[in-house]
Parts: sequence; structure tokens; C-alpha cells
Amino acid sequence: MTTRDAALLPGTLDLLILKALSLGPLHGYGVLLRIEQISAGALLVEQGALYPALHRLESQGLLATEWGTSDNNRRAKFYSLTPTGRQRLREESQGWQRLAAAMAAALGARREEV
Amino acid sequence: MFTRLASIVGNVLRRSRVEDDLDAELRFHLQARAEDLARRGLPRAEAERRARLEFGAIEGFKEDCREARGLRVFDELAGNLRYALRSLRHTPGVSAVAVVSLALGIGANIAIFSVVNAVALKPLPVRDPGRLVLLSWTAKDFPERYVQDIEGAVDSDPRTGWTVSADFSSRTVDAIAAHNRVFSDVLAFSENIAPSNISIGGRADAGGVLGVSGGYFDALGVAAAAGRVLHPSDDGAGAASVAVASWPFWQRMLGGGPAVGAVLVVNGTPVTVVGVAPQEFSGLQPGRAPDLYVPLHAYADHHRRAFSYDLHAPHVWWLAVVGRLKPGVTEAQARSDVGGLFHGSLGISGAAADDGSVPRMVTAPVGRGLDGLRKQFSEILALLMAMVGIVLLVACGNVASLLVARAAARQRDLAVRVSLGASRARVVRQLLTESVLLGLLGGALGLLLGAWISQAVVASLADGPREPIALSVRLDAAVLVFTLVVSVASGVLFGAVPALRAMRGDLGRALTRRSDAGLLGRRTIRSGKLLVGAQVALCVLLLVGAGLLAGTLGRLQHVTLGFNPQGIVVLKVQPGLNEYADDRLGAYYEGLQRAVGALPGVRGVALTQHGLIGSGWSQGMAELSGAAPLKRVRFWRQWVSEGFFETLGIPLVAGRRLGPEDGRIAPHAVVVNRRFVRDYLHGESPLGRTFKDGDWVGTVVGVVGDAKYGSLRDEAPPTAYLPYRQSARQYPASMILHARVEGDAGAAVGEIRRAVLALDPAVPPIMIQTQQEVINRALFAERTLAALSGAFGLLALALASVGLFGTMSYAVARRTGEIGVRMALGAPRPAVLRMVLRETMAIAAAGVAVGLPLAWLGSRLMAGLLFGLSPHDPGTIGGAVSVVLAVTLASGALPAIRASRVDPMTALREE
Repeated sequence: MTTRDAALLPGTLDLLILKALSLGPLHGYGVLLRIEQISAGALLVEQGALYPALHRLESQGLLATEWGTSDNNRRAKFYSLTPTGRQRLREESQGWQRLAAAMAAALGARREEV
Repeated sequence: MFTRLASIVGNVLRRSRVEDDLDAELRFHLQARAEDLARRGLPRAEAERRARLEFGAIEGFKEDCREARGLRVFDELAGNLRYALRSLRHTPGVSAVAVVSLALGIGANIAIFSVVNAVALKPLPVRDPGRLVLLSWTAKDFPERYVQDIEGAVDSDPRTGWTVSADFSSRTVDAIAAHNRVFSDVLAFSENIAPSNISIGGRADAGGVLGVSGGYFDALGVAAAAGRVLHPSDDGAGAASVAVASWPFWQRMLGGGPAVGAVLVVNGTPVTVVGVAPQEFSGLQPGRAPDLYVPLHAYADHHRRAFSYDLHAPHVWWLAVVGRLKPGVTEAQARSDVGGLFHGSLGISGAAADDGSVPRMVTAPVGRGLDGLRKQFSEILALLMAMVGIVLLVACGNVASLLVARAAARQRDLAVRVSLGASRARVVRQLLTESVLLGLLGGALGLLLGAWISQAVVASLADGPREPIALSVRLDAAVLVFTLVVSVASGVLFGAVPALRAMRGDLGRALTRRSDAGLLGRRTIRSGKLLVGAQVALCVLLLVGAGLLAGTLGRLQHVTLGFNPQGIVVLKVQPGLNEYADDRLGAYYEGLQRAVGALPGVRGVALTQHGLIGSGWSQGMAELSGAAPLKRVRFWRQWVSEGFFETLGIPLVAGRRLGPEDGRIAPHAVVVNRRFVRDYLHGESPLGRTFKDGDWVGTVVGVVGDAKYGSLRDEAPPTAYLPYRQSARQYPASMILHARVEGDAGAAVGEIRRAVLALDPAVPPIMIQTQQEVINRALFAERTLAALSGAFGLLALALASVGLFGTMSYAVARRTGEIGVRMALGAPRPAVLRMVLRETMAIAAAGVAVGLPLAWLGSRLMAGLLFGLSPHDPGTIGGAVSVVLAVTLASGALPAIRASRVDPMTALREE
């Protein structure tokens, strides 16, 4: 773990999982790798904490699951987005982007603009 | 929300699959991670170790996964249940008392509720009963312009005081059936179930026959259990004489064997059975089950033949009418449509006045409308339901005080759990689980008790005033749901108090001090006393109610009848149903009177058309001459034989009695009672006046004392006694014989029965009993209420005294040390005894003080059921209070005696 790692803000893990899965079905470990990959290694997820989140999202009907075979021929549980999950991802990303833009604007404010 | 619930339920049901999947999923993760690490150059074993390390606390995350799936709640529930069962087992005595208390309380509720359910709530076993509408009418007074005779029931609306009846004339029914635009089906039936002589294969019995329209069964969607039902083609002049047997009749008279084609002799006419009605169907009148269903035409023909009485006449109203609403038609639309047809059939045109001078059509859903039975029972059942509700409260109070004591004893245990990290909410949930479990155990046992009690209640209700009341009380979904709700609700009710109390206050202190000493124990005792006081208050309420009902029964049993019931045997004969008519019928009655009169020990014999009490009456309007202006007066009519007043001991006041001289061709004579003279003649002498009852004209020849007629509660009505031999058209088809016997009336019954059968074996004497038995039957409702309310009152008292005993025992046990000190300091044993008894009496007195105002308010609500005593009868209230005080004193005595036997040395050593 390096100092560049950003700690996850509360609530962002769910969004990241949904985003990762929007690119295609993955097993749990795959979700972890995908998040690292799409955040260019900047966001690290605590491995154990991933699974309660996956199960919660599944229980809310946002994810569907299916047992399949992994790249190296092992039985693995694959998660994919349900239509409700896709909808939720759209809403949450918009919300997040509005917040990020607002935060950026706020933090970039300079004395003369006030 | 729904997906979430469905997924939780699915997870619970597939619990082991879920666990296996979770394991497999996490195992895969660890292996995949280890392989990645190995690929980066770590040795295999080190890679696996690192993978596990990075993952973190695997069991903790698994638990989080389970919680995410909603499984945690169920794990906790299962744990709570295990814990609850264990703690119930640890204190078997306390648990047994709690469960039995609850079972008694819940059982009583189930019993009464299942009767309510059978009478009022259970839907009729017909197709779509919600669309069936019962027609009836209401008018301010008896609408004598339109109707002379109602062969059915007439009531007065308790709210408006108007006359209400569900009977219509044939003409009205025909008009509605032919011209209505709102019903898809119209069915009609005779509201009276005609008592009949039914015999098969030489065996004769009395049975009830209901006349039904040809479309009755088809419109209701009731199919035959065997054979076929009646159809419109059966209901017409010239149709073959057929009947459908009820299920109980089939079992009783046909032995449950082949029924179709069996030929019965009903009132002397052969009738072929074509089918059997299904077991669950007993007509539309709850509690009144006919034995045979015959077509209306056959029913009316029988009346014409046997009684020379034309039911189809427009002024005779005898048919109950039910319509099935067409789709989309509301009850209000139906009411206005058939209301117009009703008025049309009465010859009323245009908009009728709505002041009650003209009968107005009313409608009600069949489930709620046709219920002489419900009207008869609703007040009683409501009262009983309230009483058992109070019994249950008392039982809950008992359980609550037991649980409070136990929760106090377990305070340390609870404190340990909280300090080890259990949330307070979780501990409260734990305690509630326990009490709900108790509630459910009590409910299960109560279900058994309830089935048993309800049979007893039904048995006592079945001994009804006129005809046996047929109620099928069975466990059904409604009763089971009721049981479940009551059990869980009482579990929560009595569990909430101790659970919240246990969690209040400083649990930490409970850890550091002896749990069974000091403040805590005293607080426990105080809430125990509060609960017992409340129980005593509720007992006072119940016992005052029970006492008032018992007093009512006693007063009715000793009410002034105006005749002497001692030594009177009563029976009914129905020769008119068996081809007897005219002179032969008259000769039969005279022969009967002679034959019974000749028996040794019989001092007098009299015939009357109606029994004196509880078997109907007849009413009419008479014109009385000499009263200026000419008056039409309402009177109660009784056709009697000679010797009536002498046999029944009704005193003659003026003029003469009816005697042998008042024969068929003699000038008509009539005797009236004092009330008649008082109400209609203001004390002037009625003798010699002309009395005109329709086309029957006679002269008043005598005045007799007032005697009850019909009802025990009502004052003797203005009555006219007419010689039955001078009756207008035909002799009455059935008559009641009263025989005054010397010595034991019951013993004479056999001999009288033989004498009647010797006259004609095909005319059985029915309902043979003593006059005292008749009166007792008429008091069935009062007797049932008095017995049940007394039983429930005593049950509540027993429960409360168990509670009191428990609380005082606990209080004494907690204070053993203190009592030891007192005695060591010289307090004599009687002083200790008195001290504990004083406490008991303080609780009881406080309970009585609260209970009295409750009883004061409660008994006012039942004023309508009382007779001859005020709802605030001081004797009754005093009696109830003394019983409560005596019983509480007795149940406090044992703990008091135990306290006075405390050995000071032992007590102090233990301290």
C-alpha cells in the first residue's frame, strides 16, 4: 500500500462495484481487480469488505449472480448488473459527478472570486 | 422492498446452500489471489499466507454477508427461542402457572369467539354470499291497513322503535320476482319453519318444514349432497309432492342410508325425498335448521288443507325474500327499485309519505340481515366477549407479575449480558421472545380448553326457548387467526412491562450488589402489588356483573306469573296435521280432555292454543262496543277450553268463567283480564259489551286476574280468552294441554303420555314437560348468561388469587431477614401475621376502590339485560365485594402464616 492510495469515502464502494460490473459480468476477485484497473490503481478496496457489499447489492436486486467458470477453469460466482442496478448506477454517477464538480469548484475558489 | 423480502425468505429457506456458496465464493477469491501473488514470484505457501492476511478477518466478513442477506435476524430469533425454552425449563413451576393461567384466559376467549364466529361472522356456505340482499320493511306502527297476519317475526327497531319485519305477501314477492331490474335471481322462503308430524316406516316424530321457492337452491348455488335439489318445475300446482332432506334429518330419520326415493308421511301426506342438502348448509337463518325443504306451493297447500288458511291472501305476509344483485348494481339501487314494486303491490301509487305510516323497504346483506338468532344473541355475546376479555386481562396480569419477579431475579444475568456487549434493545427482544413464546404455549393449550368450553356454551344455548338451536361450532381459519392474534398480543402485553422494567435503572449496580436485596426487590414487589390490585379491581367488575345477572335470573324465576305453575304438566298435540278436521277434530280435543281428566291424580285439564310462556302468542285488533267513541284496541288472543282458569289457578274477578255452556253453537263469549279493562275501559265494567275480532263477534262475560302470556319479562298484556270451540273458521290444528296433577308432576308424565297415545297412536304428544320446565327453558338466555358470567367471574377470581398468593409469597420471602430482626427484637408472631395480612388487605381494598367505579359504569351498560333490580343494586355490589375480600384474604393467609413461622435465628444467619 502506497501513500498515493485514496481511502474510500463511505458509500463509494457500492458505486464502484456497480461501475465495474457495468463493463461486464465478473466474479468477486475480478471486481476487485477491475476497480484497481479503472482507477489506475489509485483506489484500493479492502478485500474482505467487498463481499458484504456484493451480497447487500444482490439482496437489493441490483445484481444478479450465476455460477460459472473462471479464466483458469475454476468454479466461480459471477455477478452482473440487473436493469435496476444499471438505473441505480446512472442516478448515483450523476449525483456523484455533481458533487465532485461542486467540490472542485469550492476547493478551487480563490480570494478574489469571493 | 418486496424483492428484498423475497430474497430474505429465499435465503432463509435455502440456508445451507447459502452457506456453502459463501464458502466456495471466498475460497475462490483466496485461491485466485494466491495464484496472482505466486505469479509475481512469491513461493506458493507464502502466497497463500499473504492472500489470507490481505483478506482480513474472514469469519467477521462472512457474518457481515449474512447480515447483508437479512439472515442475522433469524439467527438471533433462533437463539432467543433456544434461550427462552431453556429458561422456561429452569423454572417449571412458574412457567406452568403462567401457561395454565394464559390457557384459561385464552381458552375462554376462544370459546366465546367461536360461538360469535358461528353465529355472526362465518360466511354462509353459498355462492358469492356478498351479492345476496335480504329485503325487509319498516313502519312506524303495525301497518294494519296492509297486513293482518305476519307468519314470521316482527321486531321493533331498537334505535327508532319502529316495527321491522322481513315478511312479505305472495303478491309482493311475485311482483318483485317478475318485474325487478336489479336482481339476477330472486328466491323466497317461508320465514316460519312449520312444525310437522313426520313419519317413515311407522316411526313418527316432530320435525320442521321450510317452504322454499323453486329457484331457492339454484339461486344460492347450493348443490345436493345426494340426489338433486328442488327446481322451479317442482314448485307449481299439480307438481309431484317432493322434498329435500337436511343432512341432520337424513342422518336421524333415514339412518344416513339411501335417501332418494324414500317416501315420508308429512302431516298425513306422502312426500318423496329427491335429495339431501349438503352438510354445511342449514338454510339462511343461522341457528334455525329445517328438517325438510318443500316447494312453496306444497307448503301453502298444506296450510290450506290443515288450517283452512290461505297463505297467498294479500294481507298474509309470510315470505322472506332474498335477491342476488346483478353485476354493477348497488344495494341502494336495488332498494329503490324493489321498494317501488313493493308499494305497487300494496296499491300505493306515486311517492309515498316517508313518515312511517306506509311500510318502507329496507335491505341488508344476507349475512347480517336474516338473523333472529343474532338479534337474540348479539347483546349476550357482546357481554360475554367483554367478560372473557377481562378474564384474559386478569390472566395476563398474573403472568406479568410472575415474569416481573423472575426478571428481577435475573437482573444480574441481564446485567452481565449488557456489559458483555449485548444491546439493550437486543435484551428486550430476548425477554419479549420469551413472553410471546409463553403466550403461544398458552394459546395452544387454550385452543384445547376453548374447544371444550365452547361445546359447553353451545350445549347450554341449544336448549333454546322455542326450537333447538343448531349451531355448528368448528375450528376454522377465523378461530385460529383469532387465537394467534390473542396469544401474541397477550404475550407482548404482559411481556412488555417486565422487559422494559428490567432494562430500566442502573444495570451496572445490579452487577456489584446482591441482586435479591434492597431497592430492586422492593420495586419488584411494588409492581407486583400494582398488578394484583388491578386484577382485584377487574374481579370486582366481573363479579358485580355476574351477581346482577344471577339476581335477574332469580327474580325472573320468582316473578309473579298470575297463574300457578306448580304441578302442571304441559304437552302439545297436532291432530290437525293428521287429517283431523271439523267435528272429528273437535271430538278428538274433547276426548283428550276427558281421557286425561279421568286419570287418577289429575285434578284439572285445560287446552289452549298457545303455551302460557315462551311458545308464541297471537294478537289481534278488536272493536269494543259501549266505549264511546267506538274503539279499536290491540289485544293478545288466547283460545282456551273450559276449565282453563280453574286448572291454571287464574282468579275470577267479575262475571263468570268459560264453561261447558260455551259450545260451538252457543252465543260467543269472551273473558278479558284486568289489564284489558284498565287499559281500554278506564275501570268501567266490560261485562255485556260486544267484542268484535274481525268477523268473530262475542259478548264479554267475565274478568279474570292478570296472567303472563308469551314473555316472562313483560307485564301481563291486555288479553282476551275465547272458547276454542267457538273459533272462527276451524278448530286450532294443534293445542297445548295443561294437566294439574297431585304430587310430583314429573312422575305423572308417563301416564299422561300413555293416555294420549291410546286416543290415537299417530298423534304423538310432543314437547311433554312440566310447566316449571317450560319456564326454565324460557329463561335459557338468562340462565346461560348467569352461569357463564358466574363461571368467568370465579375463574378471574381464582387467577387473581393465584397472583396475589405469588406476590405475597415473594414479598414474604424477600423480607425474611427483616421479619427475623423484628421477631428477634420481640415482635410476637400474631403481630407479624397481622402485618402481612394488613398488606394483603391494603392491596385488596385498593383494588376494590378502583373496581367499584368501574363496576358502576360497566353495569349501566347491561341495564337492558336486567330484570327487577337496578344496575347499582347495593346487595349485589356488597356481595361481590365481600366475596373478593374473603378470597383475597384467604389467599394472603398462607404467606402470612409462613411469615409468622420464620425462625429469627435462621433468618438472621441467612442475612
